[in-house]
Amino acid sequence: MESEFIRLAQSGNQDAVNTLVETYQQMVFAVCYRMLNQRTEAEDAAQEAIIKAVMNLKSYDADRPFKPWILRIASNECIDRIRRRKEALSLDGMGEDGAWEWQVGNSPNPEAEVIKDQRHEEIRQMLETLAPIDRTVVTLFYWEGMAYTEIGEVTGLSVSAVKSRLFRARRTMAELLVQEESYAG
Amino acid sequence: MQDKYGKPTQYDMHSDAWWIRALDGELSTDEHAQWEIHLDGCDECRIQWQALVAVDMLMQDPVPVPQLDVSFTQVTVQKIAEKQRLRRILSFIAGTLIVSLVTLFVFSMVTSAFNSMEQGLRVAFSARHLLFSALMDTMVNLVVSWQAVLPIAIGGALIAFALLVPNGILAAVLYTRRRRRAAVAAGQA
Repeated sequence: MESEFIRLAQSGNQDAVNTLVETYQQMVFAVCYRMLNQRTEAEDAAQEAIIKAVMNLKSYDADRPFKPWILRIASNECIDRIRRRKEALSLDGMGEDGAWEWQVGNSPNPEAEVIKDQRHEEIRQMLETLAPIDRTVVTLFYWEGMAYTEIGEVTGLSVSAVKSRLFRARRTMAELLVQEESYAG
Repeated sequence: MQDKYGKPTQYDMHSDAWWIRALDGELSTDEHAQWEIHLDGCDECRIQWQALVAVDMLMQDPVPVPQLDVSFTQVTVQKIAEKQRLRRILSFIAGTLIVSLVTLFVFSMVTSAFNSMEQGLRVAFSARHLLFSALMDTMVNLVVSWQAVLPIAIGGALIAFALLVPNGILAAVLYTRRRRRAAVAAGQA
């Protein structure tokens, strides 16, 4: 079914292109948002990635799964943006829009929300310390639930390289966690 | 490698490969038992393992992702249509340019060949007068020289006629000599 409308999109069918965009936009945006930490930039990156994917559909092999292919384009777009960034994200969580990022609005349980926000802040800080490619691996493993082989297809790494990068990223984050706990303690 | 009881173990529990397998839950029952024993005895490994487990648990709580605006699809599709239109225009311009360059090249080659042919024809046509006049001169010269040669030729033809035709002079002379020889031979006999 998916391969059918992708083939139609490859042949230039506009309805199939629309369906493709609608089907994958949220997933691509989720990956971009978790890598870039900013909504506006994540939207721009997701849009660019989807446009690039559609404009280069003829180079896609319809016999292979589409998700790793489009996520590869999205992750490369995010990595390029991270490298081009001149200003570091502020550590208090304020985004460039002046709004809090990764925060929930009105909630019946403000204490739990504050704890959740703190955890998300910890995650964000930990991810910020990682190299762009490691951030991609961590995002795809934990939040997209992708297998090592799929992550390898997205990042262009071998399975053993993915495992190695993931382990080192986890270890880096673990060290940061231990440091924070020792400062807090 | 040795465990805390001093017994040798076959596993390198400080290698990345071991830790990756442990985190992925790929240890066998025996390996898992050995790992537990090792963690009991190795403070550094235990602290790191606990931190890794804490990171795993932290990361299990996904960062919430906001929903995209409804207009995102429309804007994206619009941008795609614009890029496709631009690509078609650029392809058309590139194609026209290539065809024009090829046409210009072929045209210049043909023009050059045509010019050469035209020059050749012009030379041939202008040389036609020369050839004709040379031919006429030759014919006239032949006629003039033929006038000088004609009496000799007629004389020679007449002589040849007189000599060679049957009952001609040569035949008569040969007949006469043959008769005389026969007569002489008959007289001797």
